[in-house]
Amino acid sequence: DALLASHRSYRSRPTHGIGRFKYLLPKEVPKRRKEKVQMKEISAGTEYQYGDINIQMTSHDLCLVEHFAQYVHRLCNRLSIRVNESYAMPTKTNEVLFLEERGSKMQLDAVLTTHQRVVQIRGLSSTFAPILLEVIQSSQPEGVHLLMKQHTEADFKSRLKSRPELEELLAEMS
Amino acid sequence: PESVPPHSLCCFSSCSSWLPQRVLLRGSHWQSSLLGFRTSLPVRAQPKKKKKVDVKKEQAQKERMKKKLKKLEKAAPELIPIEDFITPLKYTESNRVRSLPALSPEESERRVLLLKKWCLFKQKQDEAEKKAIKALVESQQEALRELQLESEELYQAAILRDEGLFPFEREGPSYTPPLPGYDPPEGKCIDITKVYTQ
Repeated sequence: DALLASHRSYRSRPTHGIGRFKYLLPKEVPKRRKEKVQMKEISAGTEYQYGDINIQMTSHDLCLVEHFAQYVHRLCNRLSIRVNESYAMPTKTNEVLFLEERGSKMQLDAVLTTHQRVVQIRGLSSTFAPILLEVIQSSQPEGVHLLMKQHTEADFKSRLKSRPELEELLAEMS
Repeated sequence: PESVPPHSLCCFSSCSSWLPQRVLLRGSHWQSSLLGFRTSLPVRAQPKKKKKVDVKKEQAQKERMKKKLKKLEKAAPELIPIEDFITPLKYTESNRVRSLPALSPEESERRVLLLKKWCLFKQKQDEAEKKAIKALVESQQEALRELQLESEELYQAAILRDEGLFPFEREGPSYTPPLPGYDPPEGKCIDITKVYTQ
């Protein structure tokens, strides 16, 4: 009898809950599992509203492009335009070689890095779009190339790592 | 031996070229070889006994490939790490510390006043921008209202979104205009971006 009832606590007894201590410890935040990188739904927009639009800013100067991206993000916040995401695209490095005047050898001139920042907005109304374009253009700094286009799946895929093995297998299967 | 094909209804031509004739004339699908009935090429090779093993091997291979594919597909795709946000190790290794010179009170006073002037300038700039946006929006709304009073059709057409607006591209302004008659040296650009694979 006593062997079977070893874990039972007698609620009427004053010793009820005598072994409890977990309620005294600080609350443990459950460990967040790594979130899978999934593509969010791309909205097409209605007749009076644009869907997902990417504002891509490219430049060789890192600080300039970062600050411009921050400015655009804050501007959209202030004008209550919904900003889906604001991320950075991977940097591209280019080696610039030029041909010497007297000689056939290519000489290394410089190593240039191209940085790109993207601000994704949704629900831009058709009447407000030209105004926003005007404002962004007027504050565009030197050397920063601005590109605004609709968001597509291909744009999202370009951010992901390439998987050559998977592609090989898929090609073999089909 | 000229064996008679089952359906010799239309053998209209001479037997000069009998081989293709026979192919055309063969009515039955049981006669697969070009030669006549019940003749076949001499076969000395081994009869195909290994059919079962081949099929099994192929099936096993296919299943292995499918399993591999499943495993690879299970792994979530990763984003390419951005080199901008990773500080190179050489800046964290060294322990050298910069010692700044002490500022004189006049210098710090000057700096504070400069900061205040800059804040004021930026505030004016920001307010001017807000005012400009407000004015643009108001004038646009007024124009649309007037258009609506004029004609409903044109108003509806004006409200619709412009498909030709995107994609929109614009280069940033430059400090100086392009030099006339500038001859750039010949050269090339090589892309040396690191390619990440999963």
